[in-house]
Amino acid sequence: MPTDLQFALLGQEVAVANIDGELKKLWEIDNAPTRASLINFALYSESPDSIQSNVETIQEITADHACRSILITAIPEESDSRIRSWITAHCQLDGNGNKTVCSEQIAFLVTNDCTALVRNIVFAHLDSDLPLVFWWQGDLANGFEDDLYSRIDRLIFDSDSWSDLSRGLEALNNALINPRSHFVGHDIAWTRSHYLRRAIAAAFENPALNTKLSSLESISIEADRHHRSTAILLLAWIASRLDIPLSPESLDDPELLFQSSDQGPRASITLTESGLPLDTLTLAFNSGSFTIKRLTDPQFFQMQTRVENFDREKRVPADPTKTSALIVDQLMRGGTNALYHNTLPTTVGLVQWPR
Amino acid sequence: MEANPFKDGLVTEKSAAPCTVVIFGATGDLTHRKLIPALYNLAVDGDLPPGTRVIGFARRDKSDDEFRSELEAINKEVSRQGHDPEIWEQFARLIHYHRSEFQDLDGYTALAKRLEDIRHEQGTSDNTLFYLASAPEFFDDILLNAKKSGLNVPPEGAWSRVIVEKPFGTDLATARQLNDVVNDTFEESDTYRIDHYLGKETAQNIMVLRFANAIFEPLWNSNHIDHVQITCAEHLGMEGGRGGYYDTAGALRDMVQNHLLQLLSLVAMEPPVDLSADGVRDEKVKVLKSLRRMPTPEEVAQSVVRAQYTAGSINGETVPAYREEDRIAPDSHTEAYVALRIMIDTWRWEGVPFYVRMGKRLPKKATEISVHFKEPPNVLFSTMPVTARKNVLVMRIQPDEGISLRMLSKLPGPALKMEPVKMDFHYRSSFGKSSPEAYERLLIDAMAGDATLFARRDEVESAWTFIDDIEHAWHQSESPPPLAEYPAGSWGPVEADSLLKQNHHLWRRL
Repeated sequence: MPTDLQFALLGQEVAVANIDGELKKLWEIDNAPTRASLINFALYSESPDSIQSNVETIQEITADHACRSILITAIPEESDSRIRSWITAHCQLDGNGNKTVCSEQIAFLVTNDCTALVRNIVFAHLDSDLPLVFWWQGDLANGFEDDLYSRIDRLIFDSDSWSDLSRGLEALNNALINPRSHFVGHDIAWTRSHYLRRAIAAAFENPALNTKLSSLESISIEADRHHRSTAILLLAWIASRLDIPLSPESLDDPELLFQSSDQGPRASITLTESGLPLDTLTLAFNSGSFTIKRLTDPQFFQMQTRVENFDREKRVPADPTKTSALIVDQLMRGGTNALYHNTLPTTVGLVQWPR
Repeated sequence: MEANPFKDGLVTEKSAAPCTVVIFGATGDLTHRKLIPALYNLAVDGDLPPGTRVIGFARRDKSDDEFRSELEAINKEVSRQGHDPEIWEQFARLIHYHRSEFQDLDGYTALAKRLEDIRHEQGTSDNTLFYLASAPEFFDDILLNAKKSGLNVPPEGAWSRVIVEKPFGTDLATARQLNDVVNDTFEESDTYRIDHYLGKETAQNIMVLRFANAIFEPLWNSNHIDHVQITCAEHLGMEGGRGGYYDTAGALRDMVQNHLLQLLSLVAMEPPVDLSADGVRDEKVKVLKSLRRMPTPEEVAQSVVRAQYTAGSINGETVPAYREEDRIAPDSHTEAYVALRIMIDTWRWEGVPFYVRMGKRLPKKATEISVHFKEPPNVLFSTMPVTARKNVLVMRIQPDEGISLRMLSKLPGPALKMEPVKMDFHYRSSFGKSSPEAYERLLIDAMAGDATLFARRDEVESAWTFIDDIEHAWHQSESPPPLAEYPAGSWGPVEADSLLKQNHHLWRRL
């Protein structure tokens, strides 16, 4: 059970039935800063210990994306069945310390069989007409059902946090193919390599490097062990872009090996304790290589191209490591995330043994 | 070149190609305050294609390092995302300086050699983007010498493009002459006439507002729109030595011919067949060709007001009259304010006046477009006193970019009383982030070969055709329309108010 200190972070406790009225009072009291909302942003977590980090994350997201946020902390294993709720507002301050634009937050703690009411709780407190962005933390399991996800416009999840990537992808796919669903899926693990993929695409605009792709011999990725999915998704992207039919040879940590069914390039993912989601990617050709590596200053990657007479190093911006920054970036980009969805079949092929 | 498989699917990003950006006029304000900071911010965002180089071309003698230091000092002041010494250090390595007179062919030959050396030594792209950021009187020399030295001819498989800064001539004849020189050196498809207003988010949003929302376009015609106002107000006068140029140009040529007619054409155009550069520009040209011309001084006098400001005060500070400003001729007849009533002879806009005004030393800085809808049938609420009955849709271009819609609402209480209320959308508070600078967007578009936000030759010449009638009436007729006056800090001359009163309209109070 969360502590009183954690509850205090959620703002003013109010009766669930009085949330709307209490929110109105909140705005009346506060000298009417601008209440802004472009989206409904719901966050579902079954980790009571994450209340503080989730409140901080929402605060950071609202600085860039004005929203009504709904934070739901569910504790199914708690013996009592109850729902408690809190309201507060996250405000941006101008140069004089005055509140200018504020986003309201409604937080719920639901326990025992009340966790089945999550869907109703969310629906009852949406800002009408605005899109629903739902961040589902953890496995897409209990409560992740079509009555809920059929109402979601953007589903955010982090496949790095799933206990089983293969089963998670299956649950995701089932939701995506459900005729009732229309959401766009945003995997934070995929977002972690956004800048990296862009940097690779830009590097291969160079004809000297591009022509080497036909002689690619191996793909090597080094990633932190907590970001296994990030590494696999990156490998899946490369394999699907280059049309390399990779399948698993060994999926045992810390070294995952993949082979190509057509005698093409081999691939490996080495899981480390570096703490950096993606540390190094190397594409080795029959003569030369391309390497992109995160620098000690984690804001940058260093790209190194060594092919025949061409030898160059370049520093490019790296993906943020903080989850809130990744979500802010992703919400800013919007879109249909088609590349991710198109890469999913290849990803599934990398983590499931061929039948 | 082989297709790049890694680019597939990265559809949300512009695919700008690496190139060498050659800036003619590299020691000027435009380069220091706009172009280099724009390129730096693109580098910060990771949008500058790897392998991009910058060569500054100018007359003053200086080394690469001196040039870089000067640029860094100003970038620290003006960069949108601040100045990161580490990123700058890496970015600055991409920048070189090439000294030459604009008229000296040898300087261009040496530039061609230098480009070749840089490409060879550093393996950079063969693409070249030339930027004419010099004073306009040098455009001809630069283009002719670029051609003579072969700079305009790209190596096989590469491209050479040119960005031309305004003014695109000073009238139709000089615009045509400049366009001839440009097109004699570069293909029209490789020519990018920059109008930085088109790079502003809110200008780009006009098309989205009109064509991506179902509720506006059915009303966007003379059946429902009473009139349109386009205002560009500046509180500044002739500070910073700008009077020297301004007094030769005036408000009509400096702002209306390009920026404001571009905004007008975006508001008035028909839906393009697609979002390609020519699809959009074809429709804009049709608007410009449909502007009702004013072939006689009398017609100009009826529809256009020009004025200069007298001494006054802005924000509590006393400011001089236009003719007392730095570098302004004491007997100048150049207009610092202009207001026009423009009619567009198309089916859609029959009888709908477009009022366009631009002025210096007005109370505040603001550019906006307001669309004033007709009143509803005067049946139910006609007897109720109300201050503003018409719905007004406002697109704020700068500052405080956003959109607002004024509508009538019932006042709370037992009595049936109405007052106008405003639904307001602010880019800043809604999206939370500042928009990229217009030059960032336009530079990346030019590198990507997307000319949608650049003016095409026929657009420029059509605009000049309309403007030339007015300029001729003012400066070449025997009975020119009068030059009005307004106190600095006011909203312009009373004659401009009268221009609207003829149609029972009022300028929107900003």
